[in-house]
Amino acid sequence: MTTTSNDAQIVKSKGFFTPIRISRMAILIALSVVGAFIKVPTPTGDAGLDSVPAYFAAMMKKWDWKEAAVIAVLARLLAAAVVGFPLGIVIQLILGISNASWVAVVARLARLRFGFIAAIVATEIWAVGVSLGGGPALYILGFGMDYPAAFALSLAGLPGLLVAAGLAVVIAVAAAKALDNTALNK
Amino acid sequence: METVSIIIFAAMTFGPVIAYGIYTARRGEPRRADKPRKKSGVTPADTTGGASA
Repeated sequence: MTTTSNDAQIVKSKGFFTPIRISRMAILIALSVVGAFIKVPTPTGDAGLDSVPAYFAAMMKKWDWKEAAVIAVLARLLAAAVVGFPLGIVIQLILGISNASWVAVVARLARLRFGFIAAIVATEIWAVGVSLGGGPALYILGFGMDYPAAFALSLAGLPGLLVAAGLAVVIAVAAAKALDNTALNK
Repeated sequence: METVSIIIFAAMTFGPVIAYGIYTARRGEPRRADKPRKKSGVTPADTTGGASA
């Protein structure tokens, strides 16, 4: 079947991956790599600011939460790639999903229900929970440590994690607040 | 204790994404309506000198 210029029509994407969404996700994923090079030193390694773009996507009310989730997973993998995948690629992928839960669900829900300050508080509380509750599992699965040693390592990494997460979410909140009433938040 | 830690980690990793994914697929995201923006305090009547019939 041939189409003439009269028959031609603009077909809008109705699925999740619309052109504008793919564009902004690509930009934010690229910014994650930049953030991965900005390190906050901790006793158990350097925590990067790779999650700032994911937090930013989560803070934008009109955007989809899955955007932030995808950015968070890829940000984690890219940040791990920069330092040579410590703990292995499988654990880094699981950490990426953990990051997505943290950013795209916990922080976003707090932002949607209670506002920006609640998102910052929820992020810090979740950091403590992840670090002390589930953090030892990483070292147990990754290095085969026993629980007390794994817990001690998680505890040692907590201050750095709190600073890195706090810094990331505050930067993201500032950017999201600045762009809240613009055409970008649609 | 190792098992408990792994279970907590798994729950904190996969739990929120799966639960929120199912919730939003059924009911959409729980977006709160925006608060109306604060007015500057200047009303249209003020801009015309406050005179009214």
